[in-house]
Amino acid sequence: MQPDNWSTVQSGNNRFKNMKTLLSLSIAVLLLAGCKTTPVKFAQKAGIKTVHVEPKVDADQPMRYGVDLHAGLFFALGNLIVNKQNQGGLARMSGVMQSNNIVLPQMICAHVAEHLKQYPELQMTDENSDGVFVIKILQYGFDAPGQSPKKAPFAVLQIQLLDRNGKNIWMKQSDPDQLAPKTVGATWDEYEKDPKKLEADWDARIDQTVSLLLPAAK
Amino acid sequence: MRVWALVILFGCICSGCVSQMPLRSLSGPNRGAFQILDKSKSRIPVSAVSAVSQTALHTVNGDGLIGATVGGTIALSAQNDGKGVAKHLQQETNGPENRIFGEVIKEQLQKSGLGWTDQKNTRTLELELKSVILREMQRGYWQIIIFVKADVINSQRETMWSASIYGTSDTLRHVDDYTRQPESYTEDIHSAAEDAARQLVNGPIRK
Repeated sequence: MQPDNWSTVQSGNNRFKNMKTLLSLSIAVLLLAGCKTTPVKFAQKAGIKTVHVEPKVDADQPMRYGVDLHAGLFFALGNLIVNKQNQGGLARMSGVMQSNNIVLPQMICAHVAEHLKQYPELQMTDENSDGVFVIKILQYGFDAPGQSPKKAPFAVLQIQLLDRNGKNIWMKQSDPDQLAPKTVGATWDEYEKDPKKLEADWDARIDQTVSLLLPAAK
Repeated sequence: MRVWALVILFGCICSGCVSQMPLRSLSGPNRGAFQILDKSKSRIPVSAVSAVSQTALHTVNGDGLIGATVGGTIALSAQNDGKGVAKHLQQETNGPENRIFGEVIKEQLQKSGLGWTDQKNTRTLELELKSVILREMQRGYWQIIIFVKADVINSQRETMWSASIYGTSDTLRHVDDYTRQPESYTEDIHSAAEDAARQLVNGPIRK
């Protein structure tokens, strides 16, 4: 025997399901929004015609081993162990990068400035521009896909366009789960022996990340 | 359900919307020079934070730069790793942090046409250099971060503008470089102070 209020309960459940679907859809739309966007439309809307790139690039955390995917406490603890185990390799890479003048903030700024050239609507000027692009390194370091002995550099970046008063006009973060190009990667020993390869790999990886953040205008 | 949907939407829309105007954006009838008032302690707290403890904190807490470094300092004080170097540097260089920041901010105000004065004026710029942190960014290589709080107070003692910022040094240095050449600490403090002063006066203020 079904209770009298069965139809009410059922319609309530349907409504709940509909709400859930709608909510999931809205969240998906919100998450996907901006994936292919460029800052141009937002800049034009805010009346920004001239821009420059802030030369200071901060890093939220030091160079690490393993991309942090923020996938829960279990993964976080696993990540911590792997990161600690690879401190020796990170120390070697730090030394190679310092002695060969591989300075990530400079490389990142150069790539961002280069990619911004594809937007003729935004004119690059000096410090007194209408808007400024501020870049932040959310995480950077080395990772090994699967069980591969080869390590590949990675950088997760955030780019923000601010107006003269510091108001956020546009912001985008790169995907931490991005696969490295096939040509990128080497063992610690190979990188130590060939710093040029390390520099070229950092360059390729940063270019890949920045191209996704600042895609070509259609 | 609807409330949660609205909360999520609101959160998504508002994330990253917070703006912070630099000093030069301040407008109003009293656009005279700032009277500078130093509110810093006579000895600025200097500490060090290792890469391992920062990464651990970041992975577990997901904090940003300030959270990770401040939290890291607390974690580190138990290990006493690198703290001795920070203390040694401050002693060797006679604690130049406050003096350097004072000089740099005055230069920056002058350069941007805002001006400053030691005399009593309608606008007071209260500055407090809160702390200095030596932060290990790459294994063995360190960067200097200074934390500053700034307030603009009018003649009625009302706060017209307020900002808490950090400034970072340009180069990473090996800890041995600091112990061999303590003057490199002074250079890096200058570089971090320039960054902080530029953010305060001209922006953009980085978060």
